[in-house]
Amino acid sequence: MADFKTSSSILTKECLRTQICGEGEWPKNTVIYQPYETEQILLPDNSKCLSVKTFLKMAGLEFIVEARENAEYMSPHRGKVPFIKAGQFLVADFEPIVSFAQSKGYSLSTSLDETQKWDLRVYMALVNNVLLNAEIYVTWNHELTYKELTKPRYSSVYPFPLNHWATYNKRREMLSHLDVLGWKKKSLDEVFKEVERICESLSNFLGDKKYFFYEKPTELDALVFGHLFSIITTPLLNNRFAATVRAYDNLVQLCVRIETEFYQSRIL
Amino acid sequence: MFKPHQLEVDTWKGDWGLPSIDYKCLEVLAFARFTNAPINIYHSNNPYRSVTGHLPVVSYNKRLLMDRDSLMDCLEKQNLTPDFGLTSLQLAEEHAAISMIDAQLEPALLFAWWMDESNCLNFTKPWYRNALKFPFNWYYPNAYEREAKHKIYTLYNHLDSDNDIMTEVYAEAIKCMNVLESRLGNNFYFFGSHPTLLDAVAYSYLGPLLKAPLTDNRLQSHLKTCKNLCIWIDRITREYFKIDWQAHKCNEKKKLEETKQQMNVTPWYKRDETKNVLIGIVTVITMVVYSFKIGLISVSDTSDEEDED
Amino acid sequence: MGNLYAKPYHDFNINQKLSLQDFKLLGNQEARVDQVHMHGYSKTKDFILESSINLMFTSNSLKNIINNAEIVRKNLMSLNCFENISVNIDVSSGSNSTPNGYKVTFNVQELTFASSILHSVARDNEGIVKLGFKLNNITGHANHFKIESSIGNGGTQKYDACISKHIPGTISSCISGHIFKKKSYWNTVHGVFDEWGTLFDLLFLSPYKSHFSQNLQYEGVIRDINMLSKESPFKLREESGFSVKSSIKHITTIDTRDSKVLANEGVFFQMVMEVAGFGGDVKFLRNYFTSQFYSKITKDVVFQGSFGGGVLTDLGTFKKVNMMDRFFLGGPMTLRGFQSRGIGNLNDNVVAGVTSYWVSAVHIYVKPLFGMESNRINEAIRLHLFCNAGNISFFGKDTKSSLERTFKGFRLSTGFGVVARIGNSIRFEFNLCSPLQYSAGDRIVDGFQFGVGANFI
Repeated sequence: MADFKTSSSILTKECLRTQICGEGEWPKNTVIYQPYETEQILLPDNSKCLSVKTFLKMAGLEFIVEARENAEYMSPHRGKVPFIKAGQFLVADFEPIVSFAQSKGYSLSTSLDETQKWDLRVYMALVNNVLLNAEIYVTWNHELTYKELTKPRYSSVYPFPLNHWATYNKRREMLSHLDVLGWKKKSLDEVFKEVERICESLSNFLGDKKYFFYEKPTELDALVFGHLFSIITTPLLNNRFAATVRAYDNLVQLCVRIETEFYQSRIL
Repeated sequence: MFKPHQLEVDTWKGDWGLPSIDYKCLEVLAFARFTNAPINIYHSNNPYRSVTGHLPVVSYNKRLLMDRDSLMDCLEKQNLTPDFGLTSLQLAEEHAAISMIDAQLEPALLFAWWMDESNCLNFTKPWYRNALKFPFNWYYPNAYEREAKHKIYTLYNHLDSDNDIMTEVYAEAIKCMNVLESRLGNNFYFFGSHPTLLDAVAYSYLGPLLKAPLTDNRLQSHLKTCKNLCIWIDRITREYFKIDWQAHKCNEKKKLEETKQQMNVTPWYKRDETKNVLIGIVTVITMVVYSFKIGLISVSDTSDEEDED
Repeated sequence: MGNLYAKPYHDFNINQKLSLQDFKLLGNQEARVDQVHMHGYSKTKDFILESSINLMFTSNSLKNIINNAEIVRKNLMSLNCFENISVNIDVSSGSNSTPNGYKVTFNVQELTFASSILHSVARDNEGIVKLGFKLNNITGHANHFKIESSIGNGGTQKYDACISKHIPGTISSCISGHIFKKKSYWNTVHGVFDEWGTLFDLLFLSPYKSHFSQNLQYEGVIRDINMLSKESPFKLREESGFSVKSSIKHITTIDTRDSKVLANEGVFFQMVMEVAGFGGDVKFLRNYFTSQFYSKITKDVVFQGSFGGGVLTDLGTFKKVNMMDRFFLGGPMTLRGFQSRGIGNLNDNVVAGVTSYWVSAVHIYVKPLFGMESNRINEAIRLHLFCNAGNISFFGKDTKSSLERTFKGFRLSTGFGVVARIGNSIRFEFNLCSPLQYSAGDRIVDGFQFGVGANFI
């Protein structure tokens, strides 16, 4: 345990564990693994996948998207999608992928000063922790959405006894996740109030800038775009979620801007 | 006559100069002090009457305030808010920063207190056992440990070993401390000269992390290198929790003297030699009794026979 | 066997024991069974026992009576209702007796209603402790219930609840239903396999030759493959996640060995045929067999030859069979000199597990106390010299080239070591192996190798 005594060694160990200290070029045939987009993927996963893809596009990194029905189980951190396979490295989830790219010398936030880096960090935490939980809440805890959308989609890739089994397991896992964070006992109204607060914070921070940090897109833009775009475009039972987001004009504008710049083929 | 309602707060008692050792209690107390809200504090140390099994129990006008948001609402209605004078941009930043602190420091605190075995056995549980009254002190510490473990395992269920969880949790916490440190800089408080909700939340996590005498203090040793944060914590304690601060100082002095005295005089029954001698005596007695029993030593009245001879 | 007494003719002294010659004489004389008595049972229903006992009345000579009595005793024991059974054969007397009539008495002792299970087994190079309890003969119809949990030193955990019922008759059979949960590990690749499933088993035991049995099984399992480490080969990682197997399996076993572990003479043959795809998402046809042949060369030297092989045919279209269905080769009890599942390349471009394999072995066993009477050491320990050969391949459509591939570049290893028997089914091996022929990517063991298990080649 001697190597744990100092904080820097903890950080090094963490880097080693997540394999993001590898030096060198961005591997040629990097693959993103994610669930099937049309039949299977759910709102929270879709947001994360879109964020990662946007980030890689913004950084100008090459990648191939591959859809697998068991992407969630293939992931090096079970249940976390998407993950990338870059050479022999496997990295899952948005933030580790960002740090992985950073270790290869591709970063969108190098030009920022200290205060801006702090802003980047806290707003990313806001989206990752609060907006994601709201998405999970709507997907798994809202009874009607679960029955009408989540269950049919999630279980679509499994044969008979497994469709109930896997969905039940996943739901239990997600609900206990919400429970320990104190989200489970919230009402839908409270959740939307929370979403509204986030959007307000983000909208205030964005103001009428082109991107969050003026002219150049950063990781935060990728993350926010991933989440908001999925929320707006994913058909849910009612469009309250989307409407909450759409109420903030500059955020929608940001989404449109990123969409046209990086995904020309698709229409918002 | 109109008498304004007061916040009634049941909390855990303080220690090591902090007004309370529990981060949730500390948050409420700091919040109330920063806003100058009228408050009645009971160091009840008894979560028995609490619905959730946790302290603090905050009530206002006989109404329970369960979480941070409802407390904020309640205070806002009385025009008491620590965020007075912040711009909307600053409010947004505060909102985001709090979400980051909640997500990254809470698991670290829970891990350091409850999941790290030596801390849990030597520090956390004994502290709660001492603070609680008799039948409860066998139940609550274990319940809290279970809850903390459940929470950590649920949040980090993608990792397999405790060691992996520890590195991830601690690494996140350290990164979080580093950015807080650089954000704070030489400011008095995060947003200038007045403490805000962000200060209250950050203080509630960092205070116990800095002050608690943990046996395994990896986070603490890192936090101690963050000079700005240390000064800031002491500043809040000194300015807003004067009584606890002074009581702690007094205590420390007293303890120092006591230890000095103890260094000089050790009572005879506590010395090692006495113990060794006692053990020796008991052993000898046992051996002798045993040898009598199995007949190794027998006492016969030889003197009588000699007389007859 | 229980106690066997005979007291057949008037000209023999009552207390005099029969000499072997007399017995032979007697054995061929005509005889019939007049009465069969059963003593000592209270809970077991009569009709359960009747069908077994009926066999006794078909006997026509004393020899036949004795043989049949033994068979009946075995059949009764196989009901799992009795702790022990002793047989008593006597001439019948009384008004209903015939001149050549005999009276057979079975003294049985029933098992207590509830009993605990604590024993150890070995499987796949892993020692396993089983703990649990069982309820014997719940309603008196030879039906049992048992709950077992097993924990192995390699991390394997299994929980099993089983309800079974014996159906006595000319073909004695046993129906059982299991619900189980199993967790096993494959440490070289940091894999965890979870299984939750049900198993229905129908066992037929031929009554007169107890060494021939057949099982018909239905198995429905949910499997979960989880790769814990990032170092796990990516091809294996791709197969992780849930799958459902629903299969029917037929097992034929012929076993005439005199011991399950260290046999002197006899033949063992087991053939398994499994068809999966009745529901679930994997479809395949899988056949594999093992055979062993033992023969005594001299009093102290035994020869064993073994051969085994298997073929898996993928019938699925949507989902491929995964590594829990495919074959693996290697291990200290099968292809010695290689690590467990150690044959074949685990790198990214080769799929772990194959669709066909064969393995063979030649052993020469020597009893350690050469030339001595059979004693405990000779019974439990042997020295052996072995030579293993085997290969893996993917069986394709083109049979001829597949066959060619099957035998091209096979693995070969040889060595010597000690084999020990623990209990009736656990085999220990400690060998010095040297792989003679292997390909790149195989994980070999050149030196000492230790193995424990029940299945071996």
